[in-house]
This record gives sequence, C-alpha cells and structure tokens, in this order.
Amino acid sequence: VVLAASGSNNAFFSGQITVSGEALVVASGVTLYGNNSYSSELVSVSGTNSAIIGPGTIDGRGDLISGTPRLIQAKSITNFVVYDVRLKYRYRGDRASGQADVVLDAAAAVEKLLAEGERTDAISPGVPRTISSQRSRRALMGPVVQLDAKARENLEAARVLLPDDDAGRWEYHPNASASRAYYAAYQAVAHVAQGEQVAFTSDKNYYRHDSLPGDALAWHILDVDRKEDLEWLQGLRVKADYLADHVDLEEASQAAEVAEQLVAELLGPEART
Amino acid sequence: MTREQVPRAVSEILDDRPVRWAPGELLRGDFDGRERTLEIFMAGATEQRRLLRALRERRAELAEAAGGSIVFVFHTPAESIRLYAPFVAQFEAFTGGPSRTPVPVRVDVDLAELVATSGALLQGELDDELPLALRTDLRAA
Repeated sequence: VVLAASGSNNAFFSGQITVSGEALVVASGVTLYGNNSYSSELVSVSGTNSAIIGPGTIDGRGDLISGTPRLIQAKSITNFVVYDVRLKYRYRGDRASGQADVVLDAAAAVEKLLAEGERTDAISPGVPRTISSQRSRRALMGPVVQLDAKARENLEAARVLLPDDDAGRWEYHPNASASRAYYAAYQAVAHVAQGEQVAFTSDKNYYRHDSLPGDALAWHILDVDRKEDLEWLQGLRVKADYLADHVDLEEASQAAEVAEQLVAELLGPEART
Repeated sequence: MTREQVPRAVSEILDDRPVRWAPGELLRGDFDGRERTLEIFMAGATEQRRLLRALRERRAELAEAAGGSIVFVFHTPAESIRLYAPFVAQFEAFTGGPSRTPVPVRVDVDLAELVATSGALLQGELDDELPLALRTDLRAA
C-alpha cells in the first residue's frame, strides 16, 4: 500500500491500520495522521514480510486522542522491516511514564526510524531512535547469494566437464573444468568466512583471490595443506583462463578431486540423489 | 631477497626448473595477483602440489620479496615445450641445465614435416637454442 501525494494533497487521516504480510509505504513529503478513533495502536503489524517504509512521516496526533494508544505495535512478526520512516506522536502529557509508543518484537529489522516524540521513551527499550541494520537493508534489496550452493554447483560443473565412462561421457573441457573446480573451493572458503563474520578483503565485497589462501590459514578455516591446495587450484585457474596453455586432463581431474575434498571438509558431504 | 631474485630462488628449490615472473603481455585479462604471478615450467601434473609444498619453508620470505601473495602457475612439460621452448632453452642455457631427473615428454609433432621444414635444426645448427629435453627427444625419435 503506497500513500503518495497528489499535488498539494499530501496528508492521510486514518484510524487504525492493519499491516499483515504487506508493506505500508509512506512516500516522500507525505504524512499519515492518526485521527481520534484509534484506541490501541495506529499501525498494527503482524505476519511475515511486513514492512513500513518511508521516507514520509507517521504522526499519531497524540495531542488529539484520548487514552494512551501506541503509534506502532508489531507482534507475531517474521522478517518485519522498518525503513527510513519518521514518527511523531505529540503528547498531551497524560501518558504513563515508561510506556513506549512503538513496540517492535525481536524479529523487526530497523534500518532507520526517526522518532520525534516529546518523550525519550517513545520507542520500546532496546530500539534506539536511529538504528542501522545491514539485515534490514538486505531484506529490502533482495536475498544475498548463497555461496555454499554456488560452491556445490561449481563442483558439479567441474565434474561434468570431464569424461566419465560410467556416464557415457567422452567429451571433456579441462580448462573450463579446472576453472570451475577452483571456484567451488573459493566459494566454499568464502561461505565459511562469511558465516564467521569475516570482513571482505576487497572494497568490492569479495575476498581477494590472491590472498585468500593465506588469509584462510590465518582465520583457521584451512590448514596449511589445504591452503596450498587452494593456491594450486588458483594457479591452475589462472592458467586455464588467462594463459595460452591447455590444462591437461590429468591436471583437471586432480583439480576436481582436490576441490571435492575441500568442499566436503568445509561444507559437509553433499547429499547425493 | 629482492623481487628479481625470487624466480632463481624458487628454481633452486624446485630442482632448477625454469621459473619467471609472468610477462604482462602474455596474460589476457585482469585478476588478483596478476603482477605477482610466477610461472614454473617443466612441472608434471602429478608433481605440482608436491612442488608447491616444497616451497613451504620459504613462502614468507618469497611473499615479502614479491610484495604480496604469489600466484603460482605450473606449466606441464608438454606445454612448456609446445608454447615456451625459447624461454625454457634460454633459462637452461643460462643456468647450465636442470639438475632434476629428466622426465619423459610427449611432444605431438609430425617429425617428417619437422625434418622437412627445419632440417637445419636436426643437424645441430640451432641445437643450443633448444632445451636439452627436446633435443634428446627429437634425436631419439
């Protein structure tokens, strides 16, 4: 649901709004005002993937209403996102101290929530006035690549680019196979590093290829033998992709085996069908 | 150790295999460590990982001299001769040849055509420009 301005009409006046499994977007320059009819909360949120998104304003007009309703209450939520929305309440001063206007349960990811209530406890404890959350931003943009799944896919690609008597496959592409074998190993290491919250070593959001083997040793993700295996795969991949050589079948077959061992050790054995 | 001394140091550890920093002109495309890519020639598929492990004790020193992590690229004997024979020959001439045990190398050439087009080669005029392994193979063939 998008609340957008139409010319100079930039305000919405409403009683209680229920948001369940959907996004309420208050567009730029728009204010959603609470009228004097809501008694528990102006915006009631529940369900999965609900969101309240700005950059507009939600103003509870607490100066107009009687009782002590909340501005936003989110309960029984999964993946609830609040992003870049400005909140106002405007107290009359008859509200019990310590009662928050905005109550979000632990599943809420709040990227940017600006509260302009006259009281400092306008938002439930633990939710500061401006919160930066990587998780929230990602939830808005879409999912992040699953490196473990990519690693397994590349490993399978490395295999099918090699001959297999049992499968009746006689053609082979050792350059491409060696390249995929390296990426399977790289992504398996990167997946573990991401799981351990290790920061990227490039400002372009990836782990630098040349330093990853040594880095992974330092991070205790690989032992020294596996570190050197990753280096060998990396050199083979460079040869396959950037030099005139043809990777030979023996090299490519060995690369697939090494990558398979590395992936299994880091990600666990794959489920074979 | 300086960056320029790294190839020779690696070569000595790896039984005098030819080693060089990869010339930028031969690398097509960009990748992390491009400027620190070290080529090791005459390394069979089954011995490459062992050779890498043989460098283990000197890796920190080598990386420091190189200015960062080194990308090691191994060329098989067949590809060393097919693609890089002039460099391999030059390196071996400069160093006095390999101390390692020669490995059998399969070179896919049409000998009749080679003799027809490069007769002088087999008569010894250019012998010094070929790697020992290739000279031996051609004579044996």
